[in-house]
Amino acid sequence: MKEIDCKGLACPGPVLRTKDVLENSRPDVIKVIVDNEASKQNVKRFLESQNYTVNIETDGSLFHVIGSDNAASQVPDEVHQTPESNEDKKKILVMIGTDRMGYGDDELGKKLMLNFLGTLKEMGEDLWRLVLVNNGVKLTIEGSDALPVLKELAHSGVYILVCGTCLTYFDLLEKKQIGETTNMLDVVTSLQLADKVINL
Amino acid sequence: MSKVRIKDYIDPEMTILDVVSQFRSTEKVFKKYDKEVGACLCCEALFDPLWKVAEQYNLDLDKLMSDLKDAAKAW
Repeated sequence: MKEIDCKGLACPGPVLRTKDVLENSRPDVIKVIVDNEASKQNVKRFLESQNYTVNIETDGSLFHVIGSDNAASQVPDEVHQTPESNEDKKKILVMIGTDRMGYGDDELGKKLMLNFLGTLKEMGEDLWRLVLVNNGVKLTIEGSDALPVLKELAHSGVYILVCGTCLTYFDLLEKKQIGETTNMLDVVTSLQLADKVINL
Repeated sequence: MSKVRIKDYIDPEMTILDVVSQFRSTEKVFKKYDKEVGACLCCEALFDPLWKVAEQYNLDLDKLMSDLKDAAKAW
């Protein structure tokens, strides 16, 4: 495990040091020690954007932000590897740029979208991330019929990214109820890391 | 022959993290603006694009870009 001591460093110091480490060597597990809330949140967000799963431990006034490389954790054990195991685990990203499915009748399109989101869970653990852009962000705001199913997906471990630019454009930033507000860097990184992208 | 960097510029779509990680000397620019807006920009908006930072904190985007580019030249 690679450990970075960032005590006494204010933002953006801890994130920059973490970024440097990841660019030089991508450790399977990395621990970043910080002593303030902003650094904790920013290091966590940065590691997640780099496909690490993050856990945070509190040690007095310190925070240990521990990231585990998702890619490393998905490397199959060669001893127990079966012919199918390489195919077992995929990272499917679903990109949704609309709040309704298809063209023709809007009401039908909205119902189809709800049905689509509800059925996504059938992908099981392969469903990795949802990226909501443009009108798709409207699925995440208060009053949206899609909220229950999105919350269910998030609860099951699906990471939901919501375009911050789009929320701002529609003046919906404060109304978002689910997902992580994100930027184009996170979106592009997610697309790069995904095994399969489904664009809706 | 000098090494050509792929992204040797600053534009409003770049996040604060993009900028400070490529041009470390720009950090002091954000610290200067912290006093103006009464918030730590690198804490609260590290992953936001510059245009959004300017919008959210009522900053003059052109002035911010100019300050950042000046600082980056000293990099």
